[in-house]
Amino acid sequence: MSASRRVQQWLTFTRQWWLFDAKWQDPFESAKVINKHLKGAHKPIFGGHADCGDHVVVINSQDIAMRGDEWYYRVYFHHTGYPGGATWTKAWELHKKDPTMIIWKACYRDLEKDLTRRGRMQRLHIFKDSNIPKDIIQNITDQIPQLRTVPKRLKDYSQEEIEKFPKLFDYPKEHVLD
Amino acid sequence: MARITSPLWFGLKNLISKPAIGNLRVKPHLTLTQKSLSTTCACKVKQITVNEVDDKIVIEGKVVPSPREKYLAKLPTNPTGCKECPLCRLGLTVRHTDVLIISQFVNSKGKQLPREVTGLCREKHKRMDYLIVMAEKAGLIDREVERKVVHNGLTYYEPEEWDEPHFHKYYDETVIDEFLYSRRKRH
Ligand SMILES: [Zn+2]
Repeated sequence: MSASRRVQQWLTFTRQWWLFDAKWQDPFESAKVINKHLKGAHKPIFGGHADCGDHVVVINSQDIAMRGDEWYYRVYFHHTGYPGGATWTKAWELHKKDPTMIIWKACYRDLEKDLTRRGRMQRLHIFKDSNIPKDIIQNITDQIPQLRTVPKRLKDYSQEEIEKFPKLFDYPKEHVLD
Repeated sequence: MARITSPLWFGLKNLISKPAIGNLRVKPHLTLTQKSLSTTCACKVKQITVNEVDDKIVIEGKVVPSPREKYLAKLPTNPTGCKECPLCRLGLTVRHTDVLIISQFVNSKGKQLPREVTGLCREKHKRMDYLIVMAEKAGLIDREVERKVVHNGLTYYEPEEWDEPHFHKYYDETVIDEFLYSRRKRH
């Protein structure tokens, strides 16, 4: 076996480390992409016999975005097991307490419910901001592309940029500026 | 005119010549309320400034050159479909994140400009209305709009916790089609 083929073999069976920036991303859409990498479903050797899942490092999980008013009507249920121990927590309340929890639960819910679930979840590393420990950041080799582009606020543009942007119509002659 | 909208209109009918009435018939509301009835431009003003100097209030009207004149986009000459509004002629599908386009259809207070100024067709005007609200709720543009509704003498506010956390929101523009074209059943 030549040297290049040998390296290719090593790369196929090692666990790769991926980086995912969750800024302005929907947690439930991105959970599907993250889970694909946690399972190793993007590899040609993927199957029931192969344990080929990768590690995924999610950063900026405190800046996730949800559609419309979903922060207020998505509810997480928990029961302590004792009578009267049921609690219903809204998504914004949960995100205030722990900004990594919503994306964790979204991935956990989307995975298959079998014995591989806990092992795959162990390979998911979520951080609320972009401060990653050094022993994790040195492993990362590639990045998962973001699903939606990060929007820019009108404040963030300079006055000159706003003025020089192509205008679609001109004010009529008798228009009063206000 | 099938129905008489205001008593003023009824009186004017006998006073004004026929072509003038023809002009009025197009937009009777606007001509009577917003613009005064005169043949010359009564309000040939671009900017109105109000200054207070020692118990005096000076209201001044200045004719200002339009700031947009230099940067107008070139619209195609032979459009297909809607021939009036700039959005249809360019074939643009605007999203709520395109704040540089949306902010052109808004005055300094954040209210939408009327169709006489923007030249949009009825459908695109309504669509732009939704886009402005979406961009405002997503925190991309700022508006001076009160979150208060007065209905049947009662005032309703949005709940307090809705304003409290400033988490990111995004919107889906495909729901606008649902608002515009299909009657949605709510339970
Ligand atoms: Zn049009």
